[in-house]
Amino acid sequence: MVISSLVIYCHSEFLDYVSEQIKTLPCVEIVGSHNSKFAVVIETETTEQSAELAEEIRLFTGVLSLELVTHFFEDEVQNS
Amino acid sequence: MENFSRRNFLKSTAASVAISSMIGCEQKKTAEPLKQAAGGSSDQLGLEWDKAVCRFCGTGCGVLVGRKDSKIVATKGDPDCYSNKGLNCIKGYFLSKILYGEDRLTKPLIRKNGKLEEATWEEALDLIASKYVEILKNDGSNAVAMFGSGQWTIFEGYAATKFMRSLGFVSKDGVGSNNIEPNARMCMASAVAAFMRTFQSDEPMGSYEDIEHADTFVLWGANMAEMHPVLFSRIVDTKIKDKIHVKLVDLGTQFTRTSEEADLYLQFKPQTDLAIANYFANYIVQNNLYDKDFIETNTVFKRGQTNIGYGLKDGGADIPKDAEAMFPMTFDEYKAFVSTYTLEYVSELSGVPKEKLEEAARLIADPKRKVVSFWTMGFNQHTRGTWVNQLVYNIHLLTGKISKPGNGPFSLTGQPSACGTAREVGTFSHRLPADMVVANEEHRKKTAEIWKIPVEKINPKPGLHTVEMFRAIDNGKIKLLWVQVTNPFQSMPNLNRYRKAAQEKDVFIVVSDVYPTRSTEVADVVLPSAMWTEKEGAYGNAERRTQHWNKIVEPPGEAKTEIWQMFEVAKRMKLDDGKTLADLIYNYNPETYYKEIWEEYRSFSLGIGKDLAPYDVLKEKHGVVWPYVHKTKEINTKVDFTEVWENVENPEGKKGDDFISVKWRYNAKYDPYAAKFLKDHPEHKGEIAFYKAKGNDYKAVVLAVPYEAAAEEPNNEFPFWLCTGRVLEHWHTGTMTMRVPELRRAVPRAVVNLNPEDAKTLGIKGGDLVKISSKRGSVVFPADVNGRSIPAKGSVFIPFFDETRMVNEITIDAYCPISKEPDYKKCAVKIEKV
Amino acid sequence: MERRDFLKKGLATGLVTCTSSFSLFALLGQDNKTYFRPPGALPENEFLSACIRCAKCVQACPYDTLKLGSVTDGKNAGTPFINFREKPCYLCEDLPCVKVCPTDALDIKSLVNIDLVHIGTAVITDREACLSLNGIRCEICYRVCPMIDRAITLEKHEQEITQKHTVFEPVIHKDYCTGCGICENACPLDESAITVLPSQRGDKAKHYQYLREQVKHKKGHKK
Repeated sequence: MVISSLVIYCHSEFLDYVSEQIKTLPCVEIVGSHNSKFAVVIETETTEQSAELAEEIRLFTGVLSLELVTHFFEDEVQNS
Repeated sequence: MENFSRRNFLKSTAASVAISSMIGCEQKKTAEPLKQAAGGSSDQLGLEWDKAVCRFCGTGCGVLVGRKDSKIVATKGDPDCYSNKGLNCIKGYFLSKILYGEDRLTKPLIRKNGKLEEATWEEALDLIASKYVEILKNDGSNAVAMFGSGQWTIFEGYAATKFMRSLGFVSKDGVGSNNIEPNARMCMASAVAAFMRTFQSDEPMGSYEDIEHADTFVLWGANMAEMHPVLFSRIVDTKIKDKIHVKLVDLGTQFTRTSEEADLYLQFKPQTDLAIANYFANYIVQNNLYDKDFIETNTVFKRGQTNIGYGLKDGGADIPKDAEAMFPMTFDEYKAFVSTYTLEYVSELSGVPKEKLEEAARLIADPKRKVVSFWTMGFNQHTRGTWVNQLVYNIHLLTGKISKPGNGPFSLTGQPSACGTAREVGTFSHRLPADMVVANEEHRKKTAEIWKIPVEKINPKPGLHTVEMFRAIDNGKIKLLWVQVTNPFQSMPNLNRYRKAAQEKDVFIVVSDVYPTRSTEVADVVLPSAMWTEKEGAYGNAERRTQHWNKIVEPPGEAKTEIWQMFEVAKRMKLDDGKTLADLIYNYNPETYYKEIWEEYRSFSLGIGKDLAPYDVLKEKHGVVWPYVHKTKEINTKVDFTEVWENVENPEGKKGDDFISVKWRYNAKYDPYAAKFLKDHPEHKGEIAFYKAKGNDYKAVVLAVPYEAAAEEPNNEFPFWLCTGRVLEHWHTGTMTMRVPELRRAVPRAVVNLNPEDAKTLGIKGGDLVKISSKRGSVVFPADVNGRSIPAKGSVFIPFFDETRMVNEITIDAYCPISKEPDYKKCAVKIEKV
Repeated sequence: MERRDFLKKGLATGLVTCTSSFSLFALLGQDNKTYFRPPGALPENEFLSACIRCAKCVQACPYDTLKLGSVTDGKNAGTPFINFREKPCYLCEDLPCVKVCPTDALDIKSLVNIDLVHIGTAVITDREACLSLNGIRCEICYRVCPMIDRAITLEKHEQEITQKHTVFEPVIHKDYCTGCGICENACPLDESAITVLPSQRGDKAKHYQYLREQVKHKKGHKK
């Protein structure tokens, strides 16, 4: 179980668009928004999956940057 | 299920952190502009500034007080005050906050059915006045007492002494009461007694400016680094200016912050300061380092009475009648007397290594060195306090290092007006204003003349001094006690006895104070008082500087000044002819009474070398040192100085001024009285003249007195010495400083300082609770072995500011038989881990 | 792949490189806040792995100094930390917090002597506000220091304005400062002018020895 939370900084004109796009992603949940920022929680099996999702978000049009806030991991599936 | 809830927990945590981080970022961004806005407007806060003086120790630092609307919101050091030049210590920094503790007393309280209940001023004052009249009529003036303070303003002290000594108009015996004492009896009575016995005039001859002129500082039992922080900062600066030459010698019984700065630290066994001072005198005499011309012209040698007791029995029954006697002796006899205080003997007795004793003696005696000795409670609170004060004068007199810039014995004070009020006004049981005493008929006459009362009304018999006053309460002899501006039921030694007496005996106790204290706790009536700048006032500091301040804000609620309280009680004391006591003694104009009181009081001081400044000068200047001498007989009432005026320097004014502030008394270069004396006595050599010592042919006394043991010394049952005192952050019984949250946080409680070796032997660690017991009781304190103060092995130190753990429950009420000052520095205790 | 390595490399290359504001601090804590740990704590990263959030140390602290991270403390939730301004560490000689630690997060072996505790180092962080540096006789931090005259000493300079007084400057010596925070707690200002900052003992230049170190211990107590 890997749970991360991120803050996403957006261009203010693309707020709705970004929020729509995020909602299409599995395992990602918007938990709050403030001015032109979103707080999201990503829950995945592995850290890699989390990282992929974060990368995907970063590439959405209108996303300026993201900041990882917390990162929990336990019982992670090790792909050795 | 478990896994699920944990997952939820983690998820919600992650979410909340992300949200708070998201929002938090923005708050940070807006925070700064806000702060800037506040800073920008601070220049336009619209504060009104006025001068005042710090409410705490005897240094007398000038402060400027900023008022906004009806509140004092700021203070700053007063750069125009000579005593501190604009700096303060941490207590001074928080000065304004002492006014605004949450529990200020704002209404009179009267004890009803064992509980203090709110009452009106009418009720309270009527009750007090009726008690006074009843007791004075039935038991006479010796059955009432007043216990005041070195924190009384000069006006209050003067009104109080006049009040008590005029009670003869009401009492059945027709004479006033001399049972008036300031807490200064517990603080510097020994210094007073020694000044009077040596120079026949109270208070130091020098000035704080000595610090910049001297190169050798000798501190006797005084932790100046903490107790006189701003003055100590001047000493250290003198050291900085000449690191190699300037020396600081610290003599004490524990390693303090002062010792840390010292070049030479002599740790002696308690009470052996007597022997050490005699050794220094011996060194000076044996090595021919005394000033022959000076001692011939200016000194007389005397031997003191010995085995003078300790005042442990009520009424001083163990004190010989002639304890104060001094008998003439020759210089050779004196030389023989001190010759027994050899290096070997004194080193053995005091525990100070020979090399250190000799090094200190060499510095003190060196004719090329300018020596200032400082001391406070280590000397004064001493069962031989008067002696040990005089033994230091001996050193300065033998070497002629006195009354010159950078040379002199300097007794420091612990209270803001111990000098100004207690000593100069003469609020002791045996004293009258300006060094006069009740036992002297001439003095009573002069007093009666100024007070415009018949001389018979002034009681010629000295009243009870502090310890005996409280013992008299226990013995049922005192029926009424009015306590003002002090907290004796925390600060008396052997406290248990006196607290019990206050609670159980038939005594009516009135306490005027600003906060609930351990003394208001035992009071029958509590009067809410105005403090500091809530009233007009003046204090006199240790360098004889009188500092006046205006009333700046209103006192809270119904609080009133002590002067008003005394006026009102006196108004309620009806005399046979229909007048009241107030008509006789407080016949002042309600608009201008401060000025009238000052000028009346000032008339005591003029023309006798104690000259105080006129009210208007005091109001304008940022502190004025007395003697503030006027050139002409017309103003100073007695002496015409015109012919010597041009030869006298005026360091705090200009040459040619009509007034001179005397910075070095007895020195013809600075003191018009000394200059005039030398002019009138051409046979008197040199430039120093002890012109006040009429009784000794204008000579100061060099006194031969021996080492005598302390009243109580460690023994098998109580193997440790106990020493008590203060810490920098708190002052006296903590009633003010413990109400400043910042100071309280810095030092929240009193601790017992242990020597680390003793702590180890007893298995005590820092923070452990330790029970300290003496014959008189026991108190529990947390232990401190961190080293802020390191008592000598076999001794402990405890400050007395903490009202929740009162160290005075175990201190001894032995006192100096001459000065009657109790010894808070030495008693025997045992230590147990709780 | 080692998980930690992955976190460092994977996230760092995957995310950090592409966004400038994405920072690694997120892996170490919730924000810039530093968590000061009880005496004997392992270096922060190791501590976080070793601490099992059992809160036993918090219960053992007789002074109520140790606080427990809450949910808003992110990954520090459940870990013990000290807020010096609320309550400093009084350096109990018998170290009750360390004794109860079931893992080696608080390592008793690291503590030969209580005087060697190193929670951080106190620093005068606001020289303009510091009362002592303004010539006011405060120096509370110095006098409350349990390692007085070693961890904090007073350096004396002349007060420039009056030229008659001394400025007693509190100077902190890292080799002795335990980071107990008693000074930070006691500072009488609204915002403490002396603050404990994270630091390691001995993290100073190894290629040069200052003169003061060559003559160190020369002075010592006069007693």
